Amino acid sequence: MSGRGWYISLGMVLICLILFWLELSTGVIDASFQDLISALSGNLTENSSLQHIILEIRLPRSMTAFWGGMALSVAGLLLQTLFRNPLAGPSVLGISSGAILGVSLVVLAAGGSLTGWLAGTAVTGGAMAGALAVTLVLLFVAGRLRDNTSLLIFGLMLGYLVSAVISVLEVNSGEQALKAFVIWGMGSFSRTSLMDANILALATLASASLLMFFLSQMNGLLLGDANAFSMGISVRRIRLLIILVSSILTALVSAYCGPVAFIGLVIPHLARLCLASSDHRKVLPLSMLMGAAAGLLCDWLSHSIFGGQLPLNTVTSALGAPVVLYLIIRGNQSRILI
Amino acid sequence: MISLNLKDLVCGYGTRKVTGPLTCDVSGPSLIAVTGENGSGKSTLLKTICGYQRPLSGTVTIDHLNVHEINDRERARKISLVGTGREASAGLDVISTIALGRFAHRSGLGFSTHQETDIARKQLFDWNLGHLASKRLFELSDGEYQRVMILRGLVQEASVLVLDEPTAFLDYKARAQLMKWLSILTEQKKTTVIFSTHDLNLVREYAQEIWHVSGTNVQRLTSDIRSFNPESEA
Repeated sequence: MSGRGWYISLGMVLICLILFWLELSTGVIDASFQDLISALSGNLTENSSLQHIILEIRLPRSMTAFWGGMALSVAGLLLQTLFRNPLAGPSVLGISSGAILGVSLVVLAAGGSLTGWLAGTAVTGGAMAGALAVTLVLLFVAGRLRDNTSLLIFGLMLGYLVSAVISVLEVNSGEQALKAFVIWGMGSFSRTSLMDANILALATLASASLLMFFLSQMNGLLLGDANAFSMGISVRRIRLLIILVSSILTALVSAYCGPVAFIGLVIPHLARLCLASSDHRKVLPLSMLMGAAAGLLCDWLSHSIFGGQLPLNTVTSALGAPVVLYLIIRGNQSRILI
Repeated sequence: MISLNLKDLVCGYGTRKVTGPLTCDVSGPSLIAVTGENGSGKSTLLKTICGYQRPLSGTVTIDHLNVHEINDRERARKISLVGTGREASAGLDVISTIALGRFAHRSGLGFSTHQETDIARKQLFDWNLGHLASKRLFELSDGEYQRVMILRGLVQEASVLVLDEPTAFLDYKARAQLMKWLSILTEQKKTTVIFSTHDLNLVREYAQEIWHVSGTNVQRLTSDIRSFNPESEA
């Protein structure tokens, strides 16, 4: 990585640390830096409710935001590279829609009968099952459709189809179940335990380690399938790898946090813009760091402005859409799109 | 000495036959021009020879290895294709792009090396394109882009280099320069070069062999290249 890349990465690490500190210490009760340190080391005995808030609520939430943001950005980058399409993201292949369908089946079909931890597990399981079902369909189809544009259109149409099924379920469901489903759909990093966040972390780091061996192949894909093939890159294999990895990451995040918009779409663009390059050897690491920072930032904003009542997706959309608009307008000069 | 053998090669899509059957043996370095009208199946033929597209029937072998059956990297060391067209807006830099041509020669875990970068840089300067070294792909003109992609094919050091319309975006001066490059390549590096083009003047001046595609028929000419004129037959 060039000097510039290292500086930007270092800056992102610092930003993540600051955001972590903000996430853990601000909220309904603010914690001083000392309180925070003692709470994290388990010694804040004089104020056990603050310790509880920090360890049981804010820590899992910020860890989920960190790893969730990172996972979504990796998925987004992979899909933009595969389709050589700047508008590709975790939601375009219908994977998020699959997760939503799974959840709507669980929540809307079971009505209000699910409560407590059972409801949480059922929602996570439903999202996972739905996302993986769509992934299996995609893998099956990817083996048969040769060109990526067809696959992209297939994914989009699959998404619409799934949305139609969801609408049918919504119309036929009770008020309470509908409300629970709508709230789930707004996205949130705060429904998870530390254990869930660890699973996200493990999946994200494992994916990134695996992708390390395929960075050149992904660069080759940017030159077009025929050229990549001619260089000895197994286009079929890398295509399946990208679909599999991005699906698993999207499925996990959707299951734990609901369909989180924009992070996966926007962050890879920001990383390319900062590096003035689309070389995956630089863009992948920076996207991971920036994604983590974006997750933390959006989560912190949703809990600290407007009385902490903003849904996560409102924040990601409000921040993400202007960035995309800026990239389009600026795109005429810089022209790096993928 | 390399040998490229096409045996009863029929190219096409699904059940639609485009060209062939074509049988020919090329041994030793040669500069082969593929000519024919738009839509005659030149690209299909080239893609099939490179292994990118499966033939309807017949085989393509290089040094007795079937290009449609050997693994990707092994094939890439035998034959490389520089496609037509341009993927818009990629932000890769020129040196890394050319260095990617060395992918098939990597060993171990397949990570990129400094050696690749050195080879790419040397190649770029050898062909007097050093001024492009610090640029990224989207900053190049169509002609520059095409030359960078051709260099990517060159560093791959395959026995057979296939170029689909390499002169399409080049001006007359660059065309002549490219053809001189390719002539040098066949003479010095013992590479067989197959290129498609519509520029018959270039064909008459530089080609050592012509494959003229018309209808489903491929006509092979190895002599009287200087007087090649497909229009007169029509």
